[in-house]
Amino acid sequence: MSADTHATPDLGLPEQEAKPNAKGNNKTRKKKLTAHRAAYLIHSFIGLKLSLLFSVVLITGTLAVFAEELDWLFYSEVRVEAQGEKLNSGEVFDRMKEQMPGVGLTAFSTANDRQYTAANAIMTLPDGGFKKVWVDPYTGEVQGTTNFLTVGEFMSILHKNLFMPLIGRAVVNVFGVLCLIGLVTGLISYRKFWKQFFKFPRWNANPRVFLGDLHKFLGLWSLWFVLIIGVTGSWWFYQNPLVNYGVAPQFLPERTIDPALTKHDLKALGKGIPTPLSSKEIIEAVQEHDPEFIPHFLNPPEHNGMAYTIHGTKHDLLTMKWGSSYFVNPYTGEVIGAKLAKDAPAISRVDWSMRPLHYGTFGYDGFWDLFVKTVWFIFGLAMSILSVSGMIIFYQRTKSATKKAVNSGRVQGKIKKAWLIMRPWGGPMSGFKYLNWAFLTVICIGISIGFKLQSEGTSGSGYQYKAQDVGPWNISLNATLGLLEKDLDPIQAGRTTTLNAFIHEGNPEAIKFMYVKVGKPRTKRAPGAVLHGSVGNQHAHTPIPKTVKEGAELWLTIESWDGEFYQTAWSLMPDGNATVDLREEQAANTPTSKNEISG
Amino acid sequence: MNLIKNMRAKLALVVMSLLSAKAFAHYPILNCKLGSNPESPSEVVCEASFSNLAKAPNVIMEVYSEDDELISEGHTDDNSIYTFERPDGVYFIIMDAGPGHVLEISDEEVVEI
Repeated sequence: MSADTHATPDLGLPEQEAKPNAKGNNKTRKKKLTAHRAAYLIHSFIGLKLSLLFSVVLITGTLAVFAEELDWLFYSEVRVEAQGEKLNSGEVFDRMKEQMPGVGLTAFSTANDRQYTAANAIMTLPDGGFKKVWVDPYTGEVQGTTNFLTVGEFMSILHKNLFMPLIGRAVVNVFGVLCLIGLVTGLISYRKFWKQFFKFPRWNANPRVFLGDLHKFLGLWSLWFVLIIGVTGSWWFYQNPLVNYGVAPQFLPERTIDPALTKHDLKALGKGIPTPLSSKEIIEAVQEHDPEFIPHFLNPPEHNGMAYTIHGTKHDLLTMKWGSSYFVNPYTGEVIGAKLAKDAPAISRVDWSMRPLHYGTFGYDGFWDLFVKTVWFIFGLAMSILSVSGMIIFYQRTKSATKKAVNSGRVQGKIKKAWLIMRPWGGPMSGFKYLNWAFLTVICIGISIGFKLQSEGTSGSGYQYKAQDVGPWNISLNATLGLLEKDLDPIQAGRTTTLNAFIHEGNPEAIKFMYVKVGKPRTKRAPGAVLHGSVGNQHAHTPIPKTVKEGAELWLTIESWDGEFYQTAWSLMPDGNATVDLREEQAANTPTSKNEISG
Repeated sequence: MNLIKNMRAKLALVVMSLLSAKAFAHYPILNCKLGSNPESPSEVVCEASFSNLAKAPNVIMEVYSEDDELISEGHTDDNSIYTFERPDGVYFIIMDAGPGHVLEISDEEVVEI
């Protein structure tokens, strides 16, 4: 703080102490470090050093309360007219699939808690991008598609992780802790705050006084809300970064694996190609098993060893609407497992309650949903104003202090002013201004990449393993490190690569399992990483050994429903024949490229 | 440029993790170490888990020799751990967590401490 007070003599002082005394004597009294003053200094410090980022987090969080409603307003595809009874939500998903044959559709969101909102699924584009498809839950008619990053989704992601790679979520969680510290120090520094609830802001006073009053007034009335946001944010801060980076011990129960099909379940299906039940039949099976369960998300199995998963709610206190799940055998409709909120340990329930409390979603549906969200929005706005007004108050104090400091010639004054703003010490943010700017720059880059991601696939990138006959099928593979890593070498020792499979000929339904592995599988029992995913997005996460031997091969193994195994192999690394580096091919096709010969 | 590429890679993880709240496939992971227990340095300790950070207790574990002879078999314990004496020569460890979730690693992937 000494750096702050260096250029701005009245900074960091409680207002009462900073004012000139009654005789007009401007000489500041010698300040004692009382609890009030210490709290005030901390309060100003946390409110200012990262104030730009803090404001971004608070404002986007406030807008994200209405993420769903914003999408409803922005996109006609999302709006539906309520007409009679809704169809069984599984049937809505079935009808969507019928209208979009050959398209990979997953993560169906039923909108069962909404009257005028369309249901949606995520559509995987053949080249790796994705979109949202919207369907009328009353008629089952597809209404159209929107980008994955809708306005609401954009706000939610920006608030959750600032579009910042890896550390974004941890950075946001830091602000949860700062909220709590701000709350406590704000109260300590505000003398007799309990008597000030009805001290209304002085509207007629000069803007600086008014802002100060407003800051205190809003701060007092939103105490309970700042507490909720602070506690939930700090709870998550404990998990990420503290637990994530091994600084603190985990106290939550370990994750358990979802129930899946057993060998016995698959054997019972016989040797023919089995027909899975429709989503409608799956939902009926779940509703028969548990009539009180309301399905919200439908996840069809991604490979034949997985269950059909239905996430939903039984309205347990402070849980999200996908807090309970049923796992169903996709061929028989037998419920093979459940993870219900009522069975969860108390500590998990406490953990889960953080989301509805933080996001204000515990109103669930109808009037109460909008009511709670409106309250959350208003107080979110109040918190945003607290942050922005705190920032303005301090900037104005700095400005007046700077004016006093800069009284020399015009040009010289300007240079001095610029220096005062740019230099890494002094001013409300001191060296932290660079951190704020750096973070904002990273956020902007992240956002632009995020938008690219949803439309840009991996086609034409990575290594292509050219189409080969494998038994009755004709299959090619494509290796990339991931959606956004298409410019990198897809095969890197010790890293996991993503292999996409494309079935050009043959019946995909006849495949029980399809595996890929670097090196010839030693046994049919473990032929490698299983390919999974929706139609058009069949992929496997394949570990590449730490040392890739020369002449290594990539093996594809298919196990058919009739119990036969079929295998083929490609050279793992490009050989210019069956395996090609598509990036080099692309470069070779570009006349200005320097890599013309290397393809 | 490398920094941006690296960032893109990491952002992909972030965005995919947002989707993965709804996408739910996972693959088995075996983390095996030799010599982690100073009292029995020839013991191989394997921890079984899944890519979604879930542990894998009570899954079938088998160890085979180069000639495909079964050397050791059992299940992971409540802490998802399976231990066995290191056999001579080349060996393979299988983790069988059900259809589509079977993984085999060779002794080359066992980390020596």
